[in-house]
Amino acid sequence: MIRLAAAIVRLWVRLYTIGLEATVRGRIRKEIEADLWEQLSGSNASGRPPKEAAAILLRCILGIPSDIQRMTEEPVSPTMQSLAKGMRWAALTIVVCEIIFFFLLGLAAFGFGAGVDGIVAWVTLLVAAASCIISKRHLEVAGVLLVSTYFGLVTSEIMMLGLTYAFWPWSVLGSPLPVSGSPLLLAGIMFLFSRWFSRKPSSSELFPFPA
Amino acid sequence: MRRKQGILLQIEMSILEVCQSRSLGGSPECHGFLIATLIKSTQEAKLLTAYGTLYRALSRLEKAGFLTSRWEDISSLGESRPRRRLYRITEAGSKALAESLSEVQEEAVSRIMQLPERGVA
Repeated sequence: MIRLAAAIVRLWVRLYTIGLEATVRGRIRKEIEADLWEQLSGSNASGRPPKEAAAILLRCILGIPSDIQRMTEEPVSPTMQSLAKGMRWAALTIVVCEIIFFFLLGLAAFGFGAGVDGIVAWVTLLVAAASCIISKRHLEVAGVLLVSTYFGLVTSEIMMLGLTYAFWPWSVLGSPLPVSGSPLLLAGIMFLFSRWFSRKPSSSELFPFPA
Repeated sequence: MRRKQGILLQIEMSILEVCQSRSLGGSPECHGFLIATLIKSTQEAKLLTAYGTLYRALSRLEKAGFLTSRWEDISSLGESRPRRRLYRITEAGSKALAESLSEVQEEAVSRIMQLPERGVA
């Protein structure tokens, strides 16, 4: 039972240090390994394995909030940084493909004539595209494009289909994996991942002790 | 939650106290598990300090210059166990501990002095 508790602690330490710089990662893992060894050798002497196993697990669980905070304080490994950069571009590509998809969906269904709404939508699209070129604020303009495509070119039925496809995890693709069926959710997760691993360490803010 | 500037957290004070008492006792270096054990015995706690809490605080104190650390040289000991990271309190650490303790005491005294004004006397 003690071995299992120690294995859980080791697994957790491996997991939360996975994205950290090699020296920091190695240090944390070795320090906790040494600590575990001391506790395990002490528990063998005490002869109360279930109680010691519970104590080891509790030490791990109670420290999880600090472990998570430490993840934000320590430097991230270069591999993770480059992976995060790749993720950011992949997420952006998914969002752009989604916009093109809905744009084509609207065109395929109603061509260029969707009444007054269609004209308003086309004007909005043109203004959005122009402001995209002028301001270079691509993400914001991409959002405007997406919204205007939804509410202008596409009718409510197509809109519902599109929303289902974009946001509902078990969407039209019928994927067995909940997330992969929803491109925008996937893009959101990838974007959060990239933000997390491209952060800068924040330890100086956490320790405002005067020099 | 932002920390009050110049004040150590309880766990940081406990670590520095343990390291200082070890230093005064003639063995200035101590490892993580020993620190956790000593904190547990001095505070009469039921559990050892959690791994995350302890090692994060140790890392923070080291970054602030209140502790120094090194890996022990196990080859000379001839033991087959993982190497320990040994911590030692610095002068800055002793000073910070003394300041924080006096700050805590002053705060406690001022709270006691305020009790009659609040009608708790």
